[in-house]
Amino acid sequence: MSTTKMRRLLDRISLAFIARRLLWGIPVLLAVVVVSFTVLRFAPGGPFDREKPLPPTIMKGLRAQYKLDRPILPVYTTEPADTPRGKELAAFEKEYSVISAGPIRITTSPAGAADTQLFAYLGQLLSGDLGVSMKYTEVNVNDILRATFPVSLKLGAVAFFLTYGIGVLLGVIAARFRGTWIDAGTMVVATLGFSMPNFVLGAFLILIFSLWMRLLPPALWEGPAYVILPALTLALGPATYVARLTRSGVLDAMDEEYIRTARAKGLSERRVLIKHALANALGPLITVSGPLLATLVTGSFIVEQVFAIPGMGRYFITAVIDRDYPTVMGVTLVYAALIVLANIVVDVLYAVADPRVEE
Amino acid sequence: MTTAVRDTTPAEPTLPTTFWGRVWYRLRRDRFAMTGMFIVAGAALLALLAPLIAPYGEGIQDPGALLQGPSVAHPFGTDQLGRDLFSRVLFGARVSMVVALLTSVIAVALGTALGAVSGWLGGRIDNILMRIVDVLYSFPDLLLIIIISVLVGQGVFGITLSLSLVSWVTVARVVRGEVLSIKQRPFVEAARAMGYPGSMILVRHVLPHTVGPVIVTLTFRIPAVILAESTLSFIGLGLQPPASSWGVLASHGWSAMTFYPHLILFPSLAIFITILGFNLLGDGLRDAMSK
Amino acid sequence: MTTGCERDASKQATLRVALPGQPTTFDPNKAYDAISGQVLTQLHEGLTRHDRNLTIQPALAESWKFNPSYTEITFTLKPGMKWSDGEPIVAGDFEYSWKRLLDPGTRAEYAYFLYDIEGAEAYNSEKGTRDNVGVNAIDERTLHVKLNRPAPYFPHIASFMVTYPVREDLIKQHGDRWTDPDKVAVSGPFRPVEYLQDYRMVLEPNPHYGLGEVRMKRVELYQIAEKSTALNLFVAGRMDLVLDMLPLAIPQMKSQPTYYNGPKLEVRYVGYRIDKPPMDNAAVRKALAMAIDRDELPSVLKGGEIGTRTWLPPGMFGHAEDVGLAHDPEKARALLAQAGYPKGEGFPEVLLLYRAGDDWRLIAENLQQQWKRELGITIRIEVREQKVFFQEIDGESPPPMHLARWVADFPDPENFMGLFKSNSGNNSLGIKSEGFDQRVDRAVQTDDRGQRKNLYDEAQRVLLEEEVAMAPLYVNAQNHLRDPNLGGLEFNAMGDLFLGPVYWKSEEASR
Repeated sequence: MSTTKMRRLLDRISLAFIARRLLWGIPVLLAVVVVSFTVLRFAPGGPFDREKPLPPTIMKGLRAQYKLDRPILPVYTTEPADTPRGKELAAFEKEYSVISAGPIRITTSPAGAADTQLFAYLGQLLSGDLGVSMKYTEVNVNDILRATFPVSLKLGAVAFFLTYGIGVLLGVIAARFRGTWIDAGTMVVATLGFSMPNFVLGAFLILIFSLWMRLLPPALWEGPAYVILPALTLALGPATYVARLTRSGVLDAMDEEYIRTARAKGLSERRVLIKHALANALGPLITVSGPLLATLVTGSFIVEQVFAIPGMGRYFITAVIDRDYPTVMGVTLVYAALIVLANIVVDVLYAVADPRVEE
Repeated sequence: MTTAVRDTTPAEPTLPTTFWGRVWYRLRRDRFAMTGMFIVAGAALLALLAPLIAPYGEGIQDPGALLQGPSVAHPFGTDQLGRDLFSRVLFGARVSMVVALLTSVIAVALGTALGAVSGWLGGRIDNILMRIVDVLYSFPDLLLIIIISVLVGQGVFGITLSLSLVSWVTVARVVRGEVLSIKQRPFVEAARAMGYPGSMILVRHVLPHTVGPVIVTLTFRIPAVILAESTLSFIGLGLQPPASSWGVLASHGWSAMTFYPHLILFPSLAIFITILGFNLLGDGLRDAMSK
Repeated sequence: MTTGCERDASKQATLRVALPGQPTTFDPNKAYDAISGQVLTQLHEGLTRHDRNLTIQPALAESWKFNPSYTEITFTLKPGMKWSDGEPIVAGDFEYSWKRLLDPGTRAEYAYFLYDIEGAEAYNSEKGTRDNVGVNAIDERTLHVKLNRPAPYFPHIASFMVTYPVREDLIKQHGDRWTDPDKVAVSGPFRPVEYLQDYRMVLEPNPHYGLGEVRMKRVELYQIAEKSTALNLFVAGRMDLVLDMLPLAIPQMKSQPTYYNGPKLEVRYVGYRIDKPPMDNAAVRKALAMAIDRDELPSVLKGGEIGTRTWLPPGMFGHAEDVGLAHDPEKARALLAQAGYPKGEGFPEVLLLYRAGDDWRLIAENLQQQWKRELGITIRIEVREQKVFFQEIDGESPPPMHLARWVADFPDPENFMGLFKSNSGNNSLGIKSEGFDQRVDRAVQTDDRGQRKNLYDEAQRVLLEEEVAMAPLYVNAQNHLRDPNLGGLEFNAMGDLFLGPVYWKSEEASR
């Protein structure tokens, strides 16, 4: 790419464009917070439903402490899972005005919207406080994320590079030897990574590299050697996807006029393949890269679980299962913010890679 | 080799005239694709005929034959409750196939429709649709899956519903990207200049170009759904008894793979071969359509 | 497999333990889960503790004395006991701790544990005051407790984690953060030096510990939720002790010296909702209970579980082998016919609810098959996530049947029997039987073990044979993996873990 061309491209991606996209991210995040907050609160089962039921006074105290005894939304139309029942309900209805019409219930609290759980949470968020976990009742969610996010980030980043390294290599090889057994063989090998659930793949890798060959640790998070197996487990599945995208992008290009021209000009097959055909595959590869990175960083629940890694991904599942609302909201927020950022980066890269797309 | 066949294609005198005719013609000559098709058809047939082929009834437990390795009586061995694993894999095929196919078709249909409309129309509608997609995309799938599983239960219907709801977004993004890119091509501009209505250009000229990526996406959706479903089982949110898919069997067997490898081996093999079949078929279809 | 010899000298005195999950709190008063307990027993001491035979032994208390009617108990603390920061451990630390446990503001799940103390329930349920709670530190070494009913089992209660002493000054100073490794003062063999949430806690010996020599220089408590991961780490020589091992691996590990199997005071059972049709028919409940072959479940689960038809588990006082409905398919079929469902005809598809988890699923699937086989009836089994399960069980429309368990908090029948009293907060079966309540209450008022046992036998008969509120299934077992070179490691049926006395045998030899 020549420097003038580069400059022209950079001109296209103005700061204003990026700023506008970042501003767009705010309503998206807000929507994610509101929707997941609501969905979560309306899900049956609560954080303090335990095997041995808590005595009513304790339950009441906890609900008050975490503001769970307030209406969830300023207005809602169905009964929330944690609306008090029986006697408590009567008291609740006296305090809050509840208008019922069949299955539709509209509740407004006496103190107005600010008194609802949603707005209390949003207010808290504005001050940067994610709240105290409802499972680890002495631990702030900010602290949990501060400790666990860097771990997931590191694991995800390593997995990301592995994904593209393995994927592009396999894809180009398969395309180069299109229709031959090398193509088929490469794709079968690639499929192997994709056709096994993560937990099975991880277990196989542990079996081979830790228990038989004794090369790598089977779990834990103590240093660089501990990153390899989990990152590989995470990467092999998406690598297959990248391989296929690469292969199909390259193959598409091979049939295009300009490649034929390039070939006719006597360029070597390797040069054609890498310089022109691969460039054609870049678009889709970039499109998936952002979400992929975000998914690799946050979506590593299974891998973190199987390898006992102290990352953030595990909380996606455990916190939801425990109905640990603040923690779920915290990881959701981080996840959503990452996705939003990743999409902006993708759009920018896309504009660079494919000048035909107008922003 | 297929390349050779394709290179001589223009010379073939009997090339079918319809689009699908040509696709089928090329597909028949692609031995990988045909292998894939046989695998997929075979898996479908086994699933359909499971009650006839399975040596033991669905869910029959034999307390006298717990955790046995493969034998003549139990070709794939037995599980913790003394159920014949071969029969379970056969019955599991039905559930896996139904969930995977239904989910993929719903997700791809929904995703293609919205992605294409969004990419084609652009402007405000695109912006609104894409912001909705952004929100859904940034929304943790698991929350949605749990809510649905609670509302409709962790059966085939519930899992299909929740998995399709969380997977159409990806398809929509891919299709939109394709449409955006095709929209800028000279032939579309030419069609516009000739005064064809937009909807007609979209359906007749743009969408066919997205068939390739959509087919690739579809062949990837099916394995992805099979995997997602087994991941859910691993977490404990997957299909629940009596329904049991390959994913369920694999997730029940994985932890003891060093001790009872048959528990994980056979369901995993079933998953692997089937996914391979779909991939080979998908590749073949793509190749056959793209030219 | 690792041995002491492979270990390099610097690691000689390090112990690496895999706990089966995450502790939720390090605040003794607020603790409720077993894993928090496994950590807390390393950090703290109670007045008493259980030995390997579950006999109560003095810990921080030197002795205790009841009044003749078992309504007052006075503990005398050992002299010279110190916190890890060198402060003396005084009776006031217990008084503060127990009142803090009962303080409704603490919101402790296990506050009810001290409800036998006068004024405790009232204070905890916001009907009384702190000053009226019958716990008083008379002097630095004397703790006087007034009970509201005879409680001869009270020394057992004083061994439980929620009754460990805590430091008022530290809690006042640091609030919720007082349990951080750099702030906390502990009374047990180890003190925490490092904690990484959901990963690992590192312990070092408490320099002021006065209840015996602590041999390990460093203990690493890893929190590994996935059982097969813990197993892999053990096999790879990276763990010395794995608690609660993978059940599926048991048959293969059984013959190895690393395998430990022992009893556990945990009973799993089918709970009937006796006010819900068709379970409101005692004949139906009896038929279902008698159709179950209790030996099938242990053979499926493979962890050394013991099939049982009685409620009080073996190893606990009051256990009686011949109580409860025996396996009798013939009789079960007859009873079902008598209830109006000959050969199971017309029997509705009753729901059996269970919670997420492999073991629960296996039980449910096995029972479904057994009932189908013996009675010709089809039971619907459904799973719920833990939280939803707990909510439904105690909710407004509980399922007709559910799978449940009870894990002993203290090894006395009162803990098991009290569960099904009409006024029990943990009673999820809807059983309200005066005959049962009276016998259980009378049993704690007597000192005569023979009479007490008779009362419990009778109460169990009411529960299991007359009311048939539930069908016990099996007594659970403990399955651990440990390096055979570890000495001083003992488990009791409560699952208590004491790492204080643990040492490496090879280290011993090299001395």
